Amino acid sequence: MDSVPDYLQTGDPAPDALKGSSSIEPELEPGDLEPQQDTGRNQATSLLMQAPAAIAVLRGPNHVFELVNPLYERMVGRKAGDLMGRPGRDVLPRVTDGRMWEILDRMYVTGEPYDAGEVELPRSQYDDHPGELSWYNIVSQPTFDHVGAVDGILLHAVDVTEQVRSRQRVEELVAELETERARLSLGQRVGKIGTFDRDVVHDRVIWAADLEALYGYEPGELQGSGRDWMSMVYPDDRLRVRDSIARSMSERQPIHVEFRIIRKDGSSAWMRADGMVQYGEDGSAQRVIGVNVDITERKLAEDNLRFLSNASTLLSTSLDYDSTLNTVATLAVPNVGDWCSIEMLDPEGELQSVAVVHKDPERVEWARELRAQSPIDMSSPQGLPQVLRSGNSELYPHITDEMLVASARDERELSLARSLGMTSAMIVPIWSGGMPIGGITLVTTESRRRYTETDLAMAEELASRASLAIDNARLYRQAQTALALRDEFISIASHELKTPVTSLKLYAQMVGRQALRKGDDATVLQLSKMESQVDKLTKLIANLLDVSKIEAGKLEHQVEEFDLVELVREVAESPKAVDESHAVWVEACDPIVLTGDRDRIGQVILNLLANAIKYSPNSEKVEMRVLRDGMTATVDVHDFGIGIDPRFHNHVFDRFFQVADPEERTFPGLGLGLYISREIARRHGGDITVDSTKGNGSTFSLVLPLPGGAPQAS
Amino acid sequence: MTKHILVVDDDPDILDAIEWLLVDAGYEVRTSDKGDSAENLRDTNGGLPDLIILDVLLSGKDGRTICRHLKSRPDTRGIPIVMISAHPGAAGSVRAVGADDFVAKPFDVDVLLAAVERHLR
Repeated sequence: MDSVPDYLQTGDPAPDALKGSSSIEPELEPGDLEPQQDTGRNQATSLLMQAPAAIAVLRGPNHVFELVNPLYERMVGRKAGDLMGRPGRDVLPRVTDGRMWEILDRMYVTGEPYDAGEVELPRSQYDDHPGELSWYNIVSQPTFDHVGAVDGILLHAVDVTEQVRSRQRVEELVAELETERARLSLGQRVGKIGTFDRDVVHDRVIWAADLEALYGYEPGELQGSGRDWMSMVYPDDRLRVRDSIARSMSERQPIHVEFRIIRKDGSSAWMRADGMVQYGEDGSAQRVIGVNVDITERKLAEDNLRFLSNASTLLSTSLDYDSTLNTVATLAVPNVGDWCSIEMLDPEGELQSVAVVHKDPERVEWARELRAQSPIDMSSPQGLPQVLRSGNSELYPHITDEMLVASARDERELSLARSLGMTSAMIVPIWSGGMPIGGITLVTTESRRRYTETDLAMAEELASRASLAIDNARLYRQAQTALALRDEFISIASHELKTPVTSLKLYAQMVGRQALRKGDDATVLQLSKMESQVDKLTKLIANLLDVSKIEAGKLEHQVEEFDLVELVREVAESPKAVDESHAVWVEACDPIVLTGDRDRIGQVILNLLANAIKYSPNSEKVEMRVLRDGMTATVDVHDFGIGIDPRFHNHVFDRFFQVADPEERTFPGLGLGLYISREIARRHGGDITVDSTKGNGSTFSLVLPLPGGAPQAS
Repeated sequence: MTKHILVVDDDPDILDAIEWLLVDAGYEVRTSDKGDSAENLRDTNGGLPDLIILDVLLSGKDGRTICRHLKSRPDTRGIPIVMISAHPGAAGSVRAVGADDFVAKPFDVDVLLAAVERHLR
């Protein structure tokens, strides 16, 4: 619009054509030219001069200034003296492109008025605030001579700066609001927030369009009652939501509740509702204003994480993978899917169903029948067979009817597939030894959840953890089988070894008897040595058998009542324990009746006594003491032998442990006695401890709990 | 009056050694290496033994089954039965079938003799 000032500065020597022919005022005649000619004209001129608009009259095709009023002077910044009688192009030459002059020129042809609209121009030096921008609404009007030909132009400009400014402010405000609104709307879309206003008294809910959008509806579609809203809440969640809101209201607390909704298109979403309740004077709830926030992603992520974590724990704690996979499938429903099935390839390469879980047990049976009627076609180019061939997961975010039609082999299969009502599905492979050996299939139906890449990643993570657990389970099973075979072997071997040992011992003893009768002392001595070796052999066999039983958790355990003191005396006096070299001192209290396996406890005491004698070759006695202390009974076996370096104290109970000290190599044995003894003690709820220093003898203490864990009455 | 003892064990050397032991101790002994013949307890003259030494694990038959059977028959119920086994854990199960005593293999001759004498007194 920079051409406008030029247009305004238009001027032409007036060819008197304005007289009596102006379209605005036919009698109007600029008084500056002929002020005294006519009173009416003078009056008109006077009016023009005082008019609250900038006015100029241009005469003839050269646009010669014939009249300018003070406001016009002020507008263009030129005095009337500079303008009057001169062509506009000369005095106000800054015509941009000559366009405005052309417009005025053309007016002589068309005779049509021209409205330039709001024209922006800086205030002139005659104005109050020179340089400031101002706006004029400028209209150009042709004047006509007596034959109707254009003979002049009346310029009329009204200062509309104030109006423009006001309008601009409004526009700015509106724009600002628009921006704000757009930002808010964007925020609501991104943050997935929608607002509501519920009139409790009249049971009306006013839904903001953004909330309707969250529920999948068009603006204005969802204006209804609270019940209408509740009908969109997932049926399983309704009672909880109702209770939660009622509780919040009765406690005068803000409402916070999380629930699932079913959108218009049938898909589901998780919402969190936060509401403030307004109460009337009578204390009743009047109005609830609040927001719904779509927390679906967060909820699903939480579900995924929780599920993954639970499944991992299960997978790592159990080595029985059939039942573990079943539990994993059970956990998956309904947290991450409505269906979960796990299929594994058996050694023959056939798919075996390991787990099928659905929220509804009846549907599980139905699914099994379905699978029986319609077994998986291993040549299928998609689904589990393809996953097993390629090792790549498959994700079907949205299962359409067309997909069912495309994949069904016949009508029956199609109707079965349709009856499943699948929304979304994913299949991930389970691996072992670098080969896909099975798959986890997760399907959503009623929940309408649609799986995303994030869900697929979760499922793949689950499958990889399951794979790891399966590998572990397989190794464990192999190890268990090997251990069971070993235990069975030891059990059979020890029995078979005992048979010849039994007859060997019998013959040795019988021969010994005869030699004794004959007075053949040399043979008696030799045979007794032979017998003692047979006894050692017997003990080694017994220990091996015991260890294998302990490992297999099959150590027999008879339960009977017996007197510990009597047992200790019996062992101390038994020919197996006592040799000529050591005297065994027993210091005992009154009878201590325990419940347990008398023979096994006797075996432990005998073992401790035998060790005490064995490791004190240079001493002559072993002291045994039986005492009762609070809740326990203790048998101390104290020798005055070689002792044990404290650094070995924790190891003397280890299987096959022998103190690796060159000077102690003279003590033979498998290193099983203390291990077995401690195991027996622990199976009775007790323990064996050692107190010893090298060179100062040892005290081994068998500690056993008293019956009922309470001290016995003495 | 000489006591008659029937010894049942599937190992011939053990049978032989026990027979030697018992004959040496003054008993009259019959031996059997099979569980099935143990039910034909009577000797050629139709006499019943005064005591039976019975192995737990016999080839073909479980000694405990024989024991339970004998203890259920009126004519044999009174015959003491001493069971022997290389499985020390068998002690509990033989008592459950009515055996009068249990001696774990391998054993001292004195231990077995003591058990026999205890029940023939």
